[in-house]
Amino acid sequence: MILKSISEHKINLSEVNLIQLYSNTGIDFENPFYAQVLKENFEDKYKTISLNFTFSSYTNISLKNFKIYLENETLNVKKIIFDQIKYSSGIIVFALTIGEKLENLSKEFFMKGDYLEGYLIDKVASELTEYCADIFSDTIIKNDDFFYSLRYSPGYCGWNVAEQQKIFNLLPKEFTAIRLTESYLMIPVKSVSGIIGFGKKEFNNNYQCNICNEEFCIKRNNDNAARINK
Amino acid sequence: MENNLEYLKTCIIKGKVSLGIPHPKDMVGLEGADEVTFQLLQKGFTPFDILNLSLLPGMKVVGNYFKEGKYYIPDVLMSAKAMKSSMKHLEPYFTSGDLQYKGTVVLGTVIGDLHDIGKNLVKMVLEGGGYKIIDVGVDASAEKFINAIQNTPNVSAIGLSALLTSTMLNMKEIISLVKNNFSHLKVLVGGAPVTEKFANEIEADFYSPNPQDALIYLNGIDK
Repeated sequence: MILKSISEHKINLSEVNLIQLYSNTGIDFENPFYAQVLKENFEDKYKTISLNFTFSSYTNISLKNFKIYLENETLNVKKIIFDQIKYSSGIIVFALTIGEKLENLSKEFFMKGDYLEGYLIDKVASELTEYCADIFSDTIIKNDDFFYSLRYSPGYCGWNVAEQQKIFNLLPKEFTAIRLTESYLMIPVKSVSGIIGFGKKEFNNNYQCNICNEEFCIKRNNDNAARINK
Repeated sequence: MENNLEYLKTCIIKGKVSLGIPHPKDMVGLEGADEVTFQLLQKGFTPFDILNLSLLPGMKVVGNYFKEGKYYIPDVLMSAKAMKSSMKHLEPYFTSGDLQYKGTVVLGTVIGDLHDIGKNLVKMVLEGGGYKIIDVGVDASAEKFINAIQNTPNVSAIGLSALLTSTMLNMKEIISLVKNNFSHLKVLVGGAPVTEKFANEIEADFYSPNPQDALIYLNGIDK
């Protein structure tokens, strides 16, 4: 069975725990200047954020050799992700975005040479996207008869980012809120796509970085590089 | 008088932009780089001294702190903001030729990649180190780099950035085309997934794991 859906939600920022959101970025927003930047350019300017999301839920699937077979596509998720979801009886394929408003605001700051403001907005927008991904998960994961895995996305845990195209092939064609570049990056940038496994057996939802051999992984590289892209 | 230059250097290091900006906590209510630079020029300090005795040494400390893990990205950005507020008073002297850049670097995130935080950090540290930066932005093709080099006098180096393992592979073609057309140019590469081994494989001249090392390398070739 395939269940497909497209939806748009308005996220009311007054209902978002901004202190927690800011805290998750790792930036000290108790700094009065950072707080001032966010208040003037984010909190006072945006009362709501539009969350566009879509998903397809597949139950006619098979999993073998580190691959997921569903409909006409084969997702080559590689070992790390496969091991986390291999007991799934179904797969939810999803994509969501908070749009380009905050992304464009950040770019405007960068273009003016106001890097700090651009950076703070960018970090908050990224965190807000993750927050929205959690809302999406809560929205669709309602069935208490199943256990659900974490979200896994192309470009992480050894899953080739080029497989992003397959994700979008599996989503409703009517969903136009996100487009892919030739290098399979999503536009708007503040978007998340991926899969969630579900089934009758409980998932081990711990990350498995210790078993990964990805030579060029961001996390594996040096501390400075990790900080730069934090 | 020298204390004023030292205070300006402190403003850069601590990211004290101006009187009205409440940062850092221990300098709230004090004048910042903006006001102090203006006053120094009024008092007869040369732009050369302000640049070389306050701004560049201050940014050097900031770059080192970041490299050593004492500073995080927002700290560097506050210092860059202080530097910018000071530089606006010095810009006329660059335009008139009284002040000169150490060199010119074309910088960009390679084709296929839309991430620019790392590239912007390098840009700020290099600008803070006295370099003129031509920023070709993100998703930059070899042609874009070559056009920028052709249209800018005295480019001495290019810097390529990438955040993804898939897009960092595009560095190779850019380096090859740039080297074929401008063999004298040095090519620096960086970005989270990039390693020295990979830099050697694609025949980059220098792999920089952080902005400060890129500055040190450029200072060496632009002597």
